[in-house]
Amino acid sequence: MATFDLNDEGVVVIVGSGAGGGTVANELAQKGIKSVVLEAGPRFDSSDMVNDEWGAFQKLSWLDKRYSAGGWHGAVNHQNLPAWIVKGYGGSTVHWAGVALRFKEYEFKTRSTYGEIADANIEDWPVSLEEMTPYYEKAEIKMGVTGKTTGMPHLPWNNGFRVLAEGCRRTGRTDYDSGPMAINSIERDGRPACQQIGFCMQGCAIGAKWSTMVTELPQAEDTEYCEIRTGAMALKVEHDDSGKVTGVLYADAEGNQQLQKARVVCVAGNSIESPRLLLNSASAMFPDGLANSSGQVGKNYMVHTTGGVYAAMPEPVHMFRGTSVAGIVGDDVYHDPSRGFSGGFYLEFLSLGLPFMAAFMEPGNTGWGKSVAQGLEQYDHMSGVWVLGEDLAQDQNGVTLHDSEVDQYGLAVPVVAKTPHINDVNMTNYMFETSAQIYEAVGATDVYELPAYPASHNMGTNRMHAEASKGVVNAFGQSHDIANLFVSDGSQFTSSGACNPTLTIVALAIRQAEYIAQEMNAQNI
Amino acid sequence: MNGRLSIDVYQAIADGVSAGADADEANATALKAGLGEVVAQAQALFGSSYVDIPDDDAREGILRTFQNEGFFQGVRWAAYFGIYNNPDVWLKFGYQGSSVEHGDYIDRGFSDITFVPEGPTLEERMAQVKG
Repeated sequence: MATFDLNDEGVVVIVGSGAGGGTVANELAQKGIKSVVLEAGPRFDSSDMVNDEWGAFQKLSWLDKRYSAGGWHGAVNHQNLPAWIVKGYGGSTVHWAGVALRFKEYEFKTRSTYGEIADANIEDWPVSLEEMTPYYEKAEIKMGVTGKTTGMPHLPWNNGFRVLAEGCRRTGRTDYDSGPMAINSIERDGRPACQQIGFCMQGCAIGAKWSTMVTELPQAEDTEYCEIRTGAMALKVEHDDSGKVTGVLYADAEGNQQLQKARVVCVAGNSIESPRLLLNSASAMFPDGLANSSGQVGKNYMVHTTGGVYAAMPEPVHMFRGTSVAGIVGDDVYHDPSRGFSGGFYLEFLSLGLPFMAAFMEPGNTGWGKSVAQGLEQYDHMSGVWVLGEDLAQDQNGVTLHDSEVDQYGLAVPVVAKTPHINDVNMTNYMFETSAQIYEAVGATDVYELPAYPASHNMGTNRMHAEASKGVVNAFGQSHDIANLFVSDGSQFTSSGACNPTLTIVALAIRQAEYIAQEMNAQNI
Repeated sequence: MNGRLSIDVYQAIADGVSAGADADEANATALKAGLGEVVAQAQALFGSSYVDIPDDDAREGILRTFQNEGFFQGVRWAAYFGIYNNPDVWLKFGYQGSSVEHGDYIDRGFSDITFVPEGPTLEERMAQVKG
């Protein structure tokens, strides 16, 4: 691995090593552009991954102090865990399940498609599916996504998904399959084929699942152009009198403050930490935080409209055997306001182990007693889905800084507010009913509805917009206010779409790295 | 569910709660006071000690009164971890726990159910992604 001097003003400093930051780092490294990645958490590799839900949670999760706020149940039931994301080398790609779906065309054009929606703040993206398609293809090849782009077959169907698929068939659905997944179904790119171990979200123990931990980051480190510093928590992005960013102040693994100089800064700390860093970087010149002339930094926080539906079947299923998300149902991803909501949704088969099923079946103080215990006695007969649909941007949902409490780095603690829109409520009811109908068609004896989990899909808090007054960054993730400051993660999203965000984050990161290289070569940044 | 949990599982939970109280005076005080309230509520409603109320729904109803109190949630989470996060009892629930040390489920029943159709074969899956 290369090492760079703190005073090297020629490097790109990338905050975060997940889907966005890790991809930008490797893409730049392959082009011969120097970068320093600041990763707040420790170094991980595949040997650190354990098949133990709580053990992995404690080892991998971002557990620094945070507050849940707003009207969602988590403000009461998950008071300090608004989001379930990773702190460490590879970021949340260590924990993602591998679902690699593309946005639909209309999902880039929500304002034009849906029109104005009361109490929502929806806008069109400044990019289209047509512009994104070549980058989706590059992302699919890079990540090894099953399907036509790579020619890699989708994964074999496991028990839990076979139950769901049969319910889909019996209810007249046609769009259900075991992919696209960024999990090798055959040996590819130096990584093995999936062995159906399960525990995908506890981190793949063999590297069959794509993560920046096993691909982008080690590949970048193998060049002479990328240094990855773990245990390095970004505190503040510094700027000069001209308003250009000049470096990133961070706390190193020993707790000492360091200032890494930079030619360009890419912020990729996920949708809570990225706006938090920009807000914490407020200065005399930028009193509302960096890149925030629009006032949109930290606003429009989106997480997907979600919940779980688990059905007890007449015979054992053993849903935990095999990949965690083993199949995807896409029949309901379209916009039809006559359903009572705007936007579409996916149903994704998702296995939970017994510990998590017991924790999330009825979270909060009421989740004990005979009804819960009897439900859990049916654990081995269950199949279930995670339902996820489009979450509309709202002004009131966002990340703000606590006015008095600070964390171990001395930074104001983030307060993460999420209140469901009526669109979310209507969609959730519809998704729950649809899922129950599918499972009842295969003979389900009981159906359990689980409320939203702490969010793993976090989006929108530094959104893209063509107009500088309505968004934080442009179509390349470049801040409207500061030319050499970029946002490289899912906080760029203008809308949430219905699908899992990672493929789009990676596609945007590949595109952004091309743009950064071009602008650096042209001496524009 | 494959049979009942043995009494040892519950004894271990009770022992853990007791040990927690022994180690922390504030915890012990809250637990004793809370249990005292449960006993008093049982007397008030049923004229009986809690453990002598025969109807389990009635016993659960008494506990529901106290479910937002710290002492109750302490016991509740001890029971949660002692049952649902306890590898010694997972097989009773049909949960097999850690898998990677056994290699995988690819040869251990990841697709062995018979009450719904099989998934597509490798050949079918290969054909699907061509062209």
